[in-house]
This record gives sequence, C-alpha cells and structure tokens, in this order.
Amino acid sequence: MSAAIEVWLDFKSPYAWLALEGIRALGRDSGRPLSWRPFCLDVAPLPATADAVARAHEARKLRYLADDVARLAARQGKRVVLPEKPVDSRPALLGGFRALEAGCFDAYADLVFDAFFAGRLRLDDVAAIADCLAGSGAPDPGFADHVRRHGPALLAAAEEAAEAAGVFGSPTLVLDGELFWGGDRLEMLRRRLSV
Amino acid sequence: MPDRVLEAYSDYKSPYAFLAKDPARDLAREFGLRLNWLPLTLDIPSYLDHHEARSARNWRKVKYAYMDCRRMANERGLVLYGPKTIFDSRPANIGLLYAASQGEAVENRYHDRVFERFFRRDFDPSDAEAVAGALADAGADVTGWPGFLAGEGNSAHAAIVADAQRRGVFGVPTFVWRDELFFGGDRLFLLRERLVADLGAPA
Repeated sequence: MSAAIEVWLDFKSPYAWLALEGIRALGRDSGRPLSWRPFCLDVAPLPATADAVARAHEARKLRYLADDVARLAARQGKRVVLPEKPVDSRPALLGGFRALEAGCFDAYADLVFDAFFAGRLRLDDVAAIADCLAGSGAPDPGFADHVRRHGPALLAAAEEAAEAAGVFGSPTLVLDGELFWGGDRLEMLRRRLSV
Repeated sequence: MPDRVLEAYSDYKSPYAFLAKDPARDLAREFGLRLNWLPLTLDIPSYLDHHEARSARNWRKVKYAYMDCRRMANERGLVLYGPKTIFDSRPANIGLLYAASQGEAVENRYHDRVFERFFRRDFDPSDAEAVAGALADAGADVTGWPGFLAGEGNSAHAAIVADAQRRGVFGVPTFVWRDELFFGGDRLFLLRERLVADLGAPA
C-alpha cells in the first residue's frame, strides 16, 4: 500500500474546514490513505508590547482573512460565522484523537466543523464535544475525565510531532516528507500524485 | 476607462510577488485590463515579527515559504534563491515608478529584470546606483533618477503605501479589482472568477 498522506489540522481553522472535501477527494482519487493529525494551531494574539504599526497590520490582515474565508465559503454554498475572540480548541482536538481511535473521524470532523462555523458549538465545551463524539458514533462517558488526566500530555505530543514535521499552519498535508500548506496547494499535490 | 484597471501591489523582495507577476499579466491581457503596478515596500519586521525575535512557528513558516516558492519556480523553470538578508527594497520599488514614467515597455523590462536579478542574488535593491543601472538597461533615460528618488518618487511611494494601508492591504502581491482585495498568487483563480462575473468570459 502507498504511504499515507498526513493531514494536520485544527478545528478552529476555517481554511481546514473549507479544504476538507478537497482533501478527502484527493485521498479517494490517489488511493492513498489519509492520516489525520489534529494539532493545536498556535495563533497567539499580539503581545501587549506590540507597537501601533504591528497592531494596524494585524487588524488589516484579520479583516482580509474574514472576507477571504467568507467568499471561499460562499463558493461552496456555505455561510461562516467566525469567532470574535481567540478560541481554545484543545477539547475538540482531544475529541478528535478519541474519534480516530474509534474509527469515526470523518463523521466527528463534519459535526464539529459544521457546528463551530455555524456558531453553534464552543470548541472548549467538554460536554458539547462529548455530545459530538456520541453523535459521530463514539460515545465516551469518561471523556471529561480523559481530558483532565491525559489532555495536556496528548496535546504536547501532537505539538512536538508537528514541530518535528515542520508544520506551522492548518491545514497542512505532508506527502513523503514534503509539506503542502493550505487548500490552495491541493492542486500542486494532485500534480505530484498525478491525479 | 478606470473601470478596466487591475491594480497590483508588489515588492521586489517578495518571492511570491515575483511568482505572481507573469500570471497576473496573463490575466490582465486575457480580460483586456490595464495592469497598474503599485510598489509597496514591505515592512518585514511587522509583517512577520522581528527578525531577532521570530517565534519557532514563524521560523518554520519562513522556511516553508522559501521551499514553497522554489518548487513553484522549478515548475516554471525560474531561478529563485532566497536572499541572505532582509533588504530595504524601497529604492528599487521607487525605480518602478520612474520606469513607469518612461512608458510601459520600459516599465515591463525593468520589472522583469529587477525581479529576475534579485532572485538570482545578482542585484541589491537598496542600492540607488544599481537601480540606476537597471533603469538604463531597461531603456530609461536616468538623468532625472537621483532627484526622483529623493523627491517626487519618494513622495509618490509614501502616498501609495498610505493608500494601500487605508484600503486594507497588508502584504504582497495584492490585487485590487473594484475595491475587492485578492492577496497572493493563489487567489488569482478567485479574481478570475470575479472578472468573468463582472465582465463576462473572455472570447
């Protein structure tokens, strides 16, 4: 069997959500298995010491990203509700690990992404994430306890692995060690795989 | 007919701007648009945090960006070496305005040559004399260049930067069509869709 394509993603990334169908199609068309690798995207806000130039730059960038996501979503017939504050996606990522173990990652990812970008789900709401696991076929009554006991170590390991792979953004696909960041690199990856 | 102008913010130190140059020209030609190049000198420290203080994540991003640009360049047979330092590209960018003042043919030759030479590590965009040489090679009369760089060109460039910021531009290349921004060569497909919607499919 051909080596898997690694797919690094964070549920708070709208670009990962919008690339999801294209990534799945790539897996189907290439015959390569997809290895989903949830990880926590570090999008720390500007430090308090940032100067006015950096703040203005950041504001322009965020305004553009919101517009860009909205028009990409519209192309897929979707509406997107972007969070107004920084998001803690760690419980949702830990749910992703559980869904992987249970073999229902696709269903879980659809539930979580769709609900989050419709403004109906908080990614840090452990009870709501447990409901998503149940809704995707992986009920886990001990999920809250699992998050408390094992969450930090699991997330740290994922971050370490992402760093080792050179991953910094979501979604990032890795084919035989080569990185492809963003849904707009799927076409290049298709050329690489001749599909 | 100002409605038929596609504006393109560009900076000679940006490999992504280099790679988007020819596809943008092709797009403008396809739709019969005038392409108005607007030099925008990137303030790299605020663009990707300070060189000395870049986070581990941003270093991975920088490393990826050059790998990404090199493989795109390779696909198109272009030479692209990452610069060894962060240059002040303002003189070369003002040179684009000077070249444009001498006609489209001079502007296009200058634009092509400066990008190509910079990414072969054969051109210092911060060196006003090197820029004068590039302008002369492109066919410009360079007698007015020193005065332009210090005066009119400097003011015009500052006005372009201020206007870009007012419009929400934060990086290059950025294309502006009817006040809508398209950042990066990988948004040219969206721009094309917008042009088809606004102008109809080209013949």
